[in-house]
Amino acid sequence: MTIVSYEDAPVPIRLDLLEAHQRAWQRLASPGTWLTGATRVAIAQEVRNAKQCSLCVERKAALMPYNVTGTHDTVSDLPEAQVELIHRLATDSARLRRNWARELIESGLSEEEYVETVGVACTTISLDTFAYAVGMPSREIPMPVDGDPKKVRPTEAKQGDAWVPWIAPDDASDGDRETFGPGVSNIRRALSLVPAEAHGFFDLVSNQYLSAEQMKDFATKFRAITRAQIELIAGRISAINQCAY
Amino acid sequence: MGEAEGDGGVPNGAMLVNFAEAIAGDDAQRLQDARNEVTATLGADGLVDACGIAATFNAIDRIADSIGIPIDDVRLEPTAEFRRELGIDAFPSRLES
Repeated sequence: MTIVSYEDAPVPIRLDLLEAHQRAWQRLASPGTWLTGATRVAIAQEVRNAKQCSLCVERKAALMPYNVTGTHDTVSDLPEAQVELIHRLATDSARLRRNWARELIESGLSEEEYVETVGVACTTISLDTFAYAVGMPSREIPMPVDGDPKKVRPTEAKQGDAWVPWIAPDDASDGDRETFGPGVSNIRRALSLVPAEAHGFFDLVSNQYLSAEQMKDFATKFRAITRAQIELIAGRISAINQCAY
Repeated sequence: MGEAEGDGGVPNGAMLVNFAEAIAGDDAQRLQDARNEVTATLGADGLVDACGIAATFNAIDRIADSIGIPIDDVRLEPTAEFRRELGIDAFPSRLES
């Protein structure tokens, strides 16, 4: 597999961040828990394609996006429901609805595939946003790695207050108490129906933002910018995205 | 979401808000100018860290939106007033989570 490089970056990229991005790309192209490497790579390609999709452009401009019907412009053979999920995530995530998610799942995309697709798409969005922000082209998506998904659903995952099942704090196994147990925020358990996807995404978060432990430590400066500066950027991005969480 | 003004009590706050807005937008020149200003003020390491934060939240917001996770119980009451004041409770994602 091609190892992602930042030799063309306009500024030096710290080593732990480079290595986290290399792990993320490698993970993205490898077989997941429910999806093959080829499907995961196709998801990344659809994320990049969504910006040019005429249906997505029309929906984004519409006051009532759910009234705009049509077919997505695609670059893959992914099922329609999966393309809808990826394109809406990439272009108009603030107006997603519980019924919309359930309809995608009832149309054939399993709950586990839904969650893993979200994880892969958001990993791609994060890596591409970093490249765009720092001033370099998006990295080439790696070739898919052969292999079969393990297709193991955590027995402790149950339907809770989110739109898909997750591992509730009191249900976390001993091995997952640190990541999904009591005291852990809901965002960290969001992808817990597919634990490997949750662990992988938050490996990226730990190096781009802060680890769970670092988040609780307001006295230590872990980055070149202060904690207040970090949270200001985070807050402004989330406000622009109209994310209530 | 409206335009932000001032530093908000955070050193170089206005500059960082402008950088975040440029990253979220599609004006390449605005982003280049904002990037140059951040680099000149906070150094290359500061730029990289600012980019990492923006990259994280541009993705994590979409996870929250698509999984429909509720606001954590411990945060619900302490944040109620400012969520109301800032109009966050009116976000479509808040109405659906």
